[in-house]
Amino acid sequence: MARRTVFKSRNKGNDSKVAYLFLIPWLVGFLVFVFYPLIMTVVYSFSTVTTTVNEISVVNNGIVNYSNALFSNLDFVMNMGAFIGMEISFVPVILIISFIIALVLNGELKGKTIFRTIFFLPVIIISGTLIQKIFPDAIELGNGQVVEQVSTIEQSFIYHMVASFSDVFADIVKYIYDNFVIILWFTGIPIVLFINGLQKINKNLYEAAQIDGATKWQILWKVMIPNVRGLAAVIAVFSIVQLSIMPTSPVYDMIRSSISGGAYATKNVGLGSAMAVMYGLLILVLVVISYLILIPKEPKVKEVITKTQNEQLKITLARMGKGAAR
Amino acid sequence: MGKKKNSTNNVEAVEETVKEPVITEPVFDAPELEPVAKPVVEKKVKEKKEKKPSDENFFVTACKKTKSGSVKAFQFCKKWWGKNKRYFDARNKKNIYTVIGRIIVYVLLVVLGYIFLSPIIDMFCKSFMPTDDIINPSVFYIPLSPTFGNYTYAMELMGYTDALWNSIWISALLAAIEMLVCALTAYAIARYDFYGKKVIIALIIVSFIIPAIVILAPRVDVFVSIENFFKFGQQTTNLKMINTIIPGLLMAICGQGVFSSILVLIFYNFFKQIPYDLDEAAYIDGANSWQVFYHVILKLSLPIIFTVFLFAFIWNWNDTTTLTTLTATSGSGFQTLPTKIGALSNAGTGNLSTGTINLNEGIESAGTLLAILPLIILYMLVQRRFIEGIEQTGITGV
Repeated sequence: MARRTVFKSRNKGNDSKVAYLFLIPWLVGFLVFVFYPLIMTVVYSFSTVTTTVNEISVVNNGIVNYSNALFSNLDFVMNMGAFIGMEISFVPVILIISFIIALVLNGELKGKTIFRTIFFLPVIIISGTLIQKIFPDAIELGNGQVVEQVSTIEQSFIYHMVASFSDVFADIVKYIYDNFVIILWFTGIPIVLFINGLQKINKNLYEAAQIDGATKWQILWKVMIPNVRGLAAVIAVFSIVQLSIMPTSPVYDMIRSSISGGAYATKNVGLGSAMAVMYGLLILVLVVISYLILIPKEPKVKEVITKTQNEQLKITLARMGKGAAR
Repeated sequence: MGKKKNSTNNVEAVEETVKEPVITEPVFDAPELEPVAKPVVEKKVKEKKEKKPSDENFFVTACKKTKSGSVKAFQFCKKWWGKNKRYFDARNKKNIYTVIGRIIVYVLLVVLGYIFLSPIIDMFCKSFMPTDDIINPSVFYIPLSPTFGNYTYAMELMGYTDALWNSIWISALLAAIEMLVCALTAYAIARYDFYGKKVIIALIIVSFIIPAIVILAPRVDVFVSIENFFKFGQQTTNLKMINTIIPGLLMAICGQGVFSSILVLIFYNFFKQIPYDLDEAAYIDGANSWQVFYHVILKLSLPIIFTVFLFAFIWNWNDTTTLTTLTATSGSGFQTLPTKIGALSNAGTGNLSTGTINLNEGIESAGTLLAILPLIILYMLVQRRFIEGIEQTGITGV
């Protein structure tokens, strides 16, 4: 008798009723505040929307909003590009830095708790308005007015080295350097999760590796990293979402100001919805891509086993004289 | 009879074994060994002393003849190497590589820690600076004439006490409601095997991935139509629901508060770890599902409930998307500390676009610090619970 952790019921129908009773609040909330608005956003994106205090009139106008967003408003395309660039450059750096810090803090070290406290502090205090206060450049990016600054890294040797190799890489390096504090502020939860993941690794694995004569470097690459890879996928998804809902995202303020009206844009719900739909799809694509890259592949052992099993089956069948023909 | 014989035999055997080690113990031999060992050591030392000049004869003569610095330096290095060789041995635990590695690690951590805190340190220093010091480029971190004027002005400007009280009670209320609903949802997923379970889990993750900004406009419309529905067709000119806390409350009750899906996943992972036998025992004793949820599951997960509450509290405190769009549009309505930070920047006397410097920076940073101060105090009080909690609960649960 194996111990059950999840109940496999014989009376699934009755169980479903009870389960859905518990799920009612969440389901209602999902339908009213997520599902319906999601559909309405798609509907709005294909129509002109005029809102008075009490009434909302929605008139279908085809793909005008999309064409406006993509072709007549250059800021949006630029900001989407900037957003993709931000995600591509930020997320790997977040992953690598948080993993390194987690590795360091996982070992024996005096004053570990102090550093952990410091590194986790941004998680507590980070909020949209605070980010706008501390990193005012983020807002300026959001309004489509990219401020050209000569950062100190452009005078450095490394920058010139990278620039002589490829301009794109140089831009990425400069971007990461300029926004290093913001990147670090997003590493709080990833650090703690990585520490958690590293502690969960079975210690017998280290021992086995040491007995086989593995160096620490080899243990890092062959034991630790494969074990936290699934965790890294989750952290990547988390970081992508976190970056997208903070005003650090260049598109965020554009959508917001066009939906609710602001200092830089006239209120246009249809256009805002079209942008929002594209933004949401982009985030979804990014999430799926990062998940596909990082999720650990299925171990090949299974295939081997199935192959051998098949062969054995064939052999037994052949012996019985029933499956001789291929 | 046999037993007795055995017992006597055993006693004899024990006596024998007791006697044997006494005889063979090397304690008596030890004093004999010592005098033998000592002269060996002395001999060795003597040999060394005798050997040294003969060994280094060449170097010494070379030194005396040439008196070159390089040979002396070489000798010095050789001596030093002999003394400190063991620190370079990888088998020694206190070898130099680990020391260097440790120093590098500490430097890395301190530098990173400084970068982490630099915006806050910067703000802290600026908050004590009068306008003259902020303009003065020679003032670096330490103000020449520190004042508390920025703080008093910022407190007045923000209506600090009111906003603080608002922040505290609304965050606590929303966090409590959110927690209860999320626990219910997680209980249903963790304990029941129902139709469409995988779909529900997928939807929870989807509702986390969709950014609030994407579905913001229709959400506002949903609240408008809810209000119109409850007024039974009599449409009033001024809407009462938006600009109050009701939208936030409704969202929390329906499990769509700030990061609700993460809370659900935390609870889900924790509930899965509670053995099902306990539930079964309660069912056999005649409990219903609700009683099992309350008496077994909730009471067993008390340690993480505190952590989850803290997280929910902080996320609600820091949330501005729902607040600024639904509860406090255009600077009026329900105001909390984070929304008040935004109001600070309007109080500046300078204007960047016209080329004048924004003189308000000191007041701004003082206000921002004041706004995050309660969270920092809370964090200092319970930081162990925070970090250990997140390590125990294992948000990911992969």
